[in-house]
Amino acid sequence: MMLVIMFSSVVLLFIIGSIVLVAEIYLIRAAQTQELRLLANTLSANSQQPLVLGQYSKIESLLASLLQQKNIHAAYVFDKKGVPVAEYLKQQDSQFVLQSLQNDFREKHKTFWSTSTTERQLSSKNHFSLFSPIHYEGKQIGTLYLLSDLTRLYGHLSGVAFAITLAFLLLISLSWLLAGRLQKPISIPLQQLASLMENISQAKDYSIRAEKVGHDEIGTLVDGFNRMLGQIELHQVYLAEHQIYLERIVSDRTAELRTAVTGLELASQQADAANEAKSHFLSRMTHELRTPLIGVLGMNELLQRTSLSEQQQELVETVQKSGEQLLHLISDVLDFSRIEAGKLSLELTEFELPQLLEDVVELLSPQADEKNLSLRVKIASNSCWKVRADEIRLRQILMNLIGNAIKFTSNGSITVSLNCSQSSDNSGTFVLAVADTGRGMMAEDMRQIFDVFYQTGSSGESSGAGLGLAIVKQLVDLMNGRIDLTSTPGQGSKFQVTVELILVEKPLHLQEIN
Amino acid sequence: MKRPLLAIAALLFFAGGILALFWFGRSFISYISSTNGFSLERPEFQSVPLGTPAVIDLHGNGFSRETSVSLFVDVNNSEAIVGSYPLEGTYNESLLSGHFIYLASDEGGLQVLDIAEPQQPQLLKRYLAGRTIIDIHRNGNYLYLSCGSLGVSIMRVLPDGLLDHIADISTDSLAKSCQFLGGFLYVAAGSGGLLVYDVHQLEQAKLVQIIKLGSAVSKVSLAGGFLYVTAGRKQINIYQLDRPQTPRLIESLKFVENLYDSVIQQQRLYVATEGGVSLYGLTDPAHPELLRRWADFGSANKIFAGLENIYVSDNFSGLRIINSENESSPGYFNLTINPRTVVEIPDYLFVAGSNRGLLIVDRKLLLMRQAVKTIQTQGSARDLFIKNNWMYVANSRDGVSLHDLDAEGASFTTLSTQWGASLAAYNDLLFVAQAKEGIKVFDISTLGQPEVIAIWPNLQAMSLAAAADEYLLLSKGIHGVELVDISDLHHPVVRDVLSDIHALDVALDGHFVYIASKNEGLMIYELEKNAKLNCLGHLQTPFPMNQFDIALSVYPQGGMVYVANGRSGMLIVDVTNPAEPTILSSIPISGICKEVRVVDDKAYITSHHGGITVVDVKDPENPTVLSIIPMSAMSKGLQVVGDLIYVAQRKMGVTVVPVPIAAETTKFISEKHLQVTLPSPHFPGRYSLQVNNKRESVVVDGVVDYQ
Repeated sequence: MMLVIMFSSVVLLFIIGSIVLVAEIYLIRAAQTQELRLLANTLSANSQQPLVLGQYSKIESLLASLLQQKNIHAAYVFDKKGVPVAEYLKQQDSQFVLQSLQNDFREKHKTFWSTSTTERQLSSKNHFSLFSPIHYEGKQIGTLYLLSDLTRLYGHLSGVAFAITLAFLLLISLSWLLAGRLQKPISIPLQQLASLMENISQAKDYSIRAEKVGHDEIGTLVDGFNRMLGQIELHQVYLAEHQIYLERIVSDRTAELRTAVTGLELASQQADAANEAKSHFLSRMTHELRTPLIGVLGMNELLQRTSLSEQQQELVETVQKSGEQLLHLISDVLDFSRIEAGKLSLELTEFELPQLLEDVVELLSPQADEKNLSLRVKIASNSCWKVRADEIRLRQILMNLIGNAIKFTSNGSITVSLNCSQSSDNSGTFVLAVADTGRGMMAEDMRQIFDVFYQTGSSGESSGAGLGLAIVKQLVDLMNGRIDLTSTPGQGSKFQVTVELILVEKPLHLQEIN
Repeated sequence: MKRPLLAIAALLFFAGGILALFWFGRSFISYISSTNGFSLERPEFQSVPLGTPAVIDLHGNGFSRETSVSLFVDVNNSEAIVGSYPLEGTYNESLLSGHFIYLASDEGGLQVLDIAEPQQPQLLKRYLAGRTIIDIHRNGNYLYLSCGSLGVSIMRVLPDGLLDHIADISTDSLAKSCQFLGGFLYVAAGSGGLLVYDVHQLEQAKLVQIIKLGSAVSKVSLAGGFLYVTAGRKQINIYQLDRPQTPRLIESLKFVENLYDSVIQQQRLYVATEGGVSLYGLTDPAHPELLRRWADFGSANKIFAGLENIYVSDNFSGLRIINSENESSPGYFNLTINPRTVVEIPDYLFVAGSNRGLLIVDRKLLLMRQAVKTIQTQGSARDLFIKNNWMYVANSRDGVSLHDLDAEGASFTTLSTQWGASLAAYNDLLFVAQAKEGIKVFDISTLGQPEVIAIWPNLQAMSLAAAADEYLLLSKGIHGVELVDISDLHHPVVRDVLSDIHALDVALDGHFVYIASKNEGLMIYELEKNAKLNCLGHLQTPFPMNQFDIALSVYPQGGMVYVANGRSGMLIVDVTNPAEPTILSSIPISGICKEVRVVDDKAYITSHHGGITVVDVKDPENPTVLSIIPMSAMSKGLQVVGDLIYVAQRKMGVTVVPVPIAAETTKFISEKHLQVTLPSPHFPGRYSLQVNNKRESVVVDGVVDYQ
């Protein structure tokens, strides 16, 4: 702060000093011009008669009086033709005189001492000269030239500069001394206060108090600061107490939570163990069930090839049919248990997606035909890609969806569609939709349709275990896809599977078309 | 910015401020001091035995550590000149009447001054403005003024000293002098002869007699009823006035030398001639008897009768006083004026000259010529050359005279009777330019017995410069410069001519030739091996200074050329690059600078009216004037030998003055107090002080008398 004040003062004084110097230059210059003009007028007046009479020695005697004028170094009187007739030269500073004469009496100034009827001035950084016409009875009879130095100007300026510099130095010195004197009552307490603030901000110790050294503004500032510290300290105490209270509550809550979590973890572990045991059991059981059932179905097929009576034939077919349903059911249970146990993983192969769709539809067409249903396929041209995906699981999804549609549609049609909603260089988003004109579902059914073992209210029409759509949902999730269901009771349902599949290439015949 | 940097910046700023303060303060104090002016109180007069240093406390104003003090001989009786009255013009005659002086001016008529208070004369009135008054004669209450072509004017003297113009008498020729006796006026009318007017009725003067003498009548004087008429240049006719209308010639005094003036005082006739003054007793006025002759005058131009003494203007440069009582050898007094008329009152002399006003001289303080020696020459001394205490003087009458400087008295040997203009020497050869008479060559190998070894009547020159023993350079005025091959002294051959230069002086330094020319300033040539002069450069002062200066003399030394530049003083020119000579400085010197010589970093310049100026040229860019010895009638001759300066002073011959002596120690005590220790000069006499500071100088006359 002290430096800023000193710097400002110095700059201000410098500006003022510069202004004073410039003003002095103009003032002294003007005064010197006036003096030189006065001198020239006097000399001109006294030179008139001798100049007219050609008494040039008298003019020189007159000019010799310039010896008393210390600043005049040379003087010349010219007649009306511009011929110099009288001379005065000062003994000293001949170089100055020679240079000034060379400067003033250039060819371009010739009119100054020959024909000019008005006063002319010439100057340089160290000389000032005047050409003053000499008149007699209204006519110009000659010219007087006076050469002056600028000693007076520079002398005055050096005096002014001396005063300004002295003022500068005094200002700096006094400021310095004053600053030293003011440091104890002002700066030191302020510095101590600043230091205390720094300590408090670092140590966070709000019990420290600033020492008051006086009853002036700084003392008031110290009081205010100490009051502020007191309030902060009080708030700190409140905050500490509240923190302790909060910490105690948090501790209690944490203990309770820890107990609950421990219980939950234990329950979870038990549930997981139970679930694992269940899955393990189901998996093992289904596997164990499939083996004898397959044996039964094999034997039953062998039995069908034998000559049986019609009744026996019907019984055997019934056995076969029931066995196959049971096998299917067991397989579903097996798949589901494997999915839930995390043991099912996708096996990617390259295949043509439209072909898969057609194959599944063709496989299930007989069942549709049996119910006199129209099973239609709509494959969009943009979806005819060879893709890299798990063909078996996609087939399983389609089989379940189309099978369910056939199962729950009594008349009308079933439409299976495939569309590629968007594609990039490497992948495409495919939408597989199965829409039927069956009885549709209530909203309640739609919310639970993908739950395990859930079956709609008219279970008489369903012959499954309620695992198909749950498996479909699990498989779609496994493929990072989405399954949507729209359904209107009495009008039909529409299942839409959206999956992103890796594109390999377009089937050859489609490439040719493209 | 970090604190140390700030501190350093502040410290530097402060130090800069201190320096600036010091610098500005110094300039300011210097300026303030310069405005105070430079002045000196007259120190107490000291009489010191020769050989003893003088310690003088100087009090005044404007002293500094650079102030220099020098001691120079008071050649001009400056101490005795106690006052002056400014009057313009040249004065021919004066007359004392009571406490009034009537001064006859050459062009300004008659002026009446009241000298009741001798040191404060007052001009009462001017009469006959514009007239030339040659002579004043008083008879009773009337003044008879010889007014040249306007004849004679008669004025009545009123009791208050003023005049009443009574009448004018016209003469057909120049009225130069007149005398009144018994109602008749005798007028010396130049070529018109001696005129006799009957002036019983002043306003109706009547010419009664014309006496033609066959030569111009310039002066008439009366004594004991006899009229003494100066006829021509060499004769005084004595007329008896027993019949005033018809003066009767009874005797003629004839003179060998030209007769300049005469005066009668107390039955004695003093006749001033070219070489001296003759005193005739007029016990028998018809037959003057030669009583004595003083021959050691330069040229006794005018003679005046005072109350007690006879005053002679010697060559219009000094005043010589003949005591009519003891008739001892007339003392010589320089007065820095060309004395043309003198008025004597008991304690003072009033001396008027040319354009210097009226000097008031305290007779008690008058000292005889302060010069170490004065060597008279028969003619006008123009140049000199000194070798081994033998001095050769070129003068207008003797050609060359040889003076033994060791010998007592004024003996000399005339080596030539033809006009002597300039001298140049090389080894044992002395070349004498004799203007139209050609050049004479002397062998000066035998001291005191020079022999003419060659005469070149066809080679005319104003000044000369010798280049080894091979060439001689001739400065021939408007005819330019000639380079003469003098390897065969009997057959000099002109090798080169520079005809388009108005050459006034020529000098040589090595193979460079420096020519002082009237219109072109300083010209520099190279003397080539094929004996041709090749112009390298020239230099002139800038306009309008060049309109006033005339390079009259050049003196090359150590890469500089010192030019005596006529009215503009002395120029110091750097000629290290001859193609581009540069003016280093110029010192204006009053009078017309004629000659310059440089010895031991001091330049000695002679100026026609300014005397001898000694300039310290150690720093050629800032030369300092050390001393000015005011003398007059200086010609070109100048040589410094040891601690003596020899200068040629035209008809006054050669004057020898001591070289100014610088103060041994100068102790600066304050701006107002200086203490100097002055070494004793080798020559007794009254010495003046010249005190110089950077810009001004002050002379205090007659401060120390070394006895």
